[in-house]
Amino acid sequence: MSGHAPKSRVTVAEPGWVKALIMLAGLGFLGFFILLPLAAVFTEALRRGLGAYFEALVEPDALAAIKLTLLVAVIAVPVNVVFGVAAAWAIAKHKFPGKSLLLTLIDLPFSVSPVISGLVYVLLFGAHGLMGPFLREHGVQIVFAVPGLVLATMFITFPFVARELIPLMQAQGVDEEEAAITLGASGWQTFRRVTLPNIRWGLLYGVLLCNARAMGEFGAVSVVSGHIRGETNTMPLHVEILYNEYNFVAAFAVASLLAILALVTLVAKSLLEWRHGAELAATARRH
Amino acid sequence: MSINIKNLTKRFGGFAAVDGIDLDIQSGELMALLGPSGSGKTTLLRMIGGLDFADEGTLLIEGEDATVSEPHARRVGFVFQHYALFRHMSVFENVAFGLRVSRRKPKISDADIRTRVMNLLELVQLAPLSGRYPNQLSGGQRQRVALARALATEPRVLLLDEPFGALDAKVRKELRRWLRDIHKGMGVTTVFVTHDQEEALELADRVAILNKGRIEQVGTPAEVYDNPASAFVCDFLGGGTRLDCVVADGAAVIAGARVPVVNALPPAGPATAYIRAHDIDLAEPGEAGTLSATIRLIQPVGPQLRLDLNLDGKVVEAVLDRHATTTPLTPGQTVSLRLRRANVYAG
Repeated sequence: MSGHAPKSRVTVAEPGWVKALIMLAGLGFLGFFILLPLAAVFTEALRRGLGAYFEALVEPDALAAIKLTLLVAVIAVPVNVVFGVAAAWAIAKHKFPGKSLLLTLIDLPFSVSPVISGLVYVLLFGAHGLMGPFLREHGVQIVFAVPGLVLATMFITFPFVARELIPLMQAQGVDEEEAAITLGASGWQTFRRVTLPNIRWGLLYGVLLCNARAMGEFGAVSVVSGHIRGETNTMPLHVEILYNEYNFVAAFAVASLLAILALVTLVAKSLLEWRHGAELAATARRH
Repeated sequence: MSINIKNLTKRFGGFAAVDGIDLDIQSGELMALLGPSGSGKTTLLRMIGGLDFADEGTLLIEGEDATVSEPHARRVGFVFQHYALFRHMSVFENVAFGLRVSRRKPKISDADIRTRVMNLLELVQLAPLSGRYPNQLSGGQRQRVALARALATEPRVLLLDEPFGALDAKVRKELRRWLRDIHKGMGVTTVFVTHDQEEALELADRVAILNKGRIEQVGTPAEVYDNPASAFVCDFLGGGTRLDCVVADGAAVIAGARVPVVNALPPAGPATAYIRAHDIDLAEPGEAGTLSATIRLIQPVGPQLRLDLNLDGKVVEAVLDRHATTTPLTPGQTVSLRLRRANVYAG
């Protein structure tokens, strides 16, 4: 947040051409690694015109992938909001044994390769997995089905909300909650009327990031999906399949939807940082 | 609403923040808990308010056992050191909060809430700012909102944690007077925590002085100032200069001069004397019972003349009436001092 950073009064001693060179290098890097690929996605998607583009999107398998991605996000994101708020609340506002262990566990999905995360679910719930026989007996299919996709996505995205809220809630302290309690509020009233409104922008920020990842996740989902067309393919998986079949226009058309999601997320994130930077301060420093 | 505290103890880990405190606070009293940081005064206040719970001992509010009861059942108002205003609510909503979450049946109507809140905001002279948010207020205004909010639920006891700690001297003085007026007007039993002895002595009906989780002395401001029960209390209440002395023949002898002792005289032998800056006079040179000292520094401060004196290598502070001091004084000059009185403690 440059708006909140103290203005540096140190005179920059580098000559103008050095500054220009550094800036050019920065912009060049940005252009080459971010803008160029982004442009490539849209150019490839529109190579055969708008007609082919939309055709690729309304094709039944593509529609199924879009629906599935939305379904997974609609389940995983709210669950992680509940979990993230609860975990952040417990960690930031209370003292209890095992607190640092919980903090470490929350970070686990960030440090484990997504493929491993997916594999764990296969090992647990797959046909030959630990719970496989039990699940088969009861006619429940998790791996290579929607429940597996949801579980893997939830695992991958669960740090986003908690990680965003913990520093924010720690910075806010417990004074306001204590004030609410002495004024006669119950635990729930305190949470709903005091804690929640104080973290709303940080929460929205966390939800945005969580959602972007939930829709874009590839590795873990790929392992548990089974790649059944029209049934267990999410958008990123569908893109891969189309690409491997040399169906570039369709692949990039679906990919462009993910790119648009990324752009929307970025704009919303910037808007939040600009409008409510103070309430995200802890995050702004970290990212 | 009286408060009776018996043997109240609170430990954090192995450390006893409050260590077996007994204290009775009378109904309608304005009581100060005075002590240095870490003395346990805030922990004691939080236990009265139900924000911390005692490990041992009992706490009665109005004769009812409140040792383990929930904060809302105690009906206390708490004003936090940093105000703890709800940052996302307007001044009006801050004050209305306690009424909106009230579990009383029937529910308080919106019209009643409006009247009550506006009356309180009138009282704290903030009615025109009812739509503002906490970050749009000055420190003194926030403090008054915090007070109005605590009073909204008509508490039996008002608890304030370092109420004026974060304010500048002028605002602090105004708010002190104003808190005393409100206390007088409402008659609500009030306990406040402070580390500022002047604030405690000026404002409170009685002062409890805490040190290391225990109470050193309880009394009216005059009592504790005139008769400090221990060296700690004396030192904390502006004991002045500390000098070694010897107790003999029913008096304290400092550097050969006999000095009248205010408090109960400790047993004969070496002792420590505290002499307040106001209790030192200049005397005629060579007069009996006086001490010879050199002036190090002279500072005229308003109506006072502050002197730093060198007495056998110890720095002694004296405060004289600037207009009553007719003898011209210069640094380096040797003068005679008369110590009018001292508080003397064993050891």
